[in-house]
Amino acid sequence: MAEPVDLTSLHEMIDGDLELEKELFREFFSSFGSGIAELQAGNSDDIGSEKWRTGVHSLKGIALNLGAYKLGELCKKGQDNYMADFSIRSGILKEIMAEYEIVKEFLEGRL
Amino acid sequence: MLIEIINSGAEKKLLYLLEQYDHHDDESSALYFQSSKLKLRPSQEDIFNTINTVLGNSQAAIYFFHDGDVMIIWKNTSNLTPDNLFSLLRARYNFDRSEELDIYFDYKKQREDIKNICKSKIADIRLQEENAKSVDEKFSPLLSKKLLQLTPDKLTPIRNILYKRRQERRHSRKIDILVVEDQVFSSKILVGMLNNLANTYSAENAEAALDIYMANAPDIVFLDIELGGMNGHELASIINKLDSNPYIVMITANNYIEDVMRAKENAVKGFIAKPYNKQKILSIIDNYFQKNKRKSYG
Repeated sequence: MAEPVDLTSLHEMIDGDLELEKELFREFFSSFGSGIAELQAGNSDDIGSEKWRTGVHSLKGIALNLGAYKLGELCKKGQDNYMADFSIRSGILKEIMAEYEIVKEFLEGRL
Repeated sequence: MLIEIINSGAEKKLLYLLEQYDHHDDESSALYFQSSKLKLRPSQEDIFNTINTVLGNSQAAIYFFHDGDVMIIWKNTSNLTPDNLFSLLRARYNFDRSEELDIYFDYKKQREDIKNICKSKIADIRLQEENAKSVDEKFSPLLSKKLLQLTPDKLTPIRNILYKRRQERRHSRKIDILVVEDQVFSSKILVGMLNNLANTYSAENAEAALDIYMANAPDIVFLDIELGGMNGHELASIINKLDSNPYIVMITANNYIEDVMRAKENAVKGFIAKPYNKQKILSIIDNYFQKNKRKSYG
């Protein structure tokens, strides 16, 4: 089974700096965690929520730059469905949260 | 470790010591240098290592100020005089202008001068904080519109200032790069990579970016399209108006044709898609060097 995060690009970018890697993982937990909380708070049944769109877009960028491509895909799905109704967006948010937990566990094992 | 490092609120801490009591007694020496004026700005770690090689067994303190300047104070138990340290730093960091290492203290005689430096830096910090508070008001959509409507006679002095700033550092081996990215995580990755190649600035929003741009005239701007408030396209448009031929590279996690079209209107020099790719970023920087006939960083 493929790892939830492919760190190849990140390692190239930071030139194998392990201290920076740890700092980035902690920043990821902080940024992604608060991003999810904002999505939960803002995911009402207002169709076409711009706040939702910018929120999942931001999380997509974070996930892709980490190398968590599946998580990035789920965020893209959320972005593409920003006009969808509340129940669909809630379902996507649950998928994002579940994948985030997998990514988090993977990264915590490297701290 | 006998060397104390103070890099948070260093100005206030040093001023407090000087005004309340003094653990750096009269048998101390001090040396101040303006790291911010150096072409190759050393990291705190590098400065610490340099100082540690000569003062490792002495009681010393290194104050890293908010603007990158450095104050070193040490007890005169070693044979190291300010003259010796001056020579060492000059050789190590290639100071080539006297003002880069312009204040050269006898600690005992010049405590008041040190206090004045601290006070001036504290005033700078307060000013920056006030500016940050008024950023929304300062860069309202109305002001953005005004900037875009500036007439050529108003633009020429601005462009001249930016040109002059670049000319001043044209012989430097490092270029200046501004990263505008509202996600701290993504910004840290890019800045972490670029720090080895360039003097790097980062901004989390368009307003802060514009401030940094005007103050430093960066050679390259990596600009995220989706920013909170004014977006990357709008900022690119303003920079294009204010500067002649800026080197802007857009960053995006999307693949929208509309973004490409708007970027073309703003004459941006390239695109980077997330996830970041080191080779792509390096090739953009190489292109910059080739187009501007600057010596490569490598």
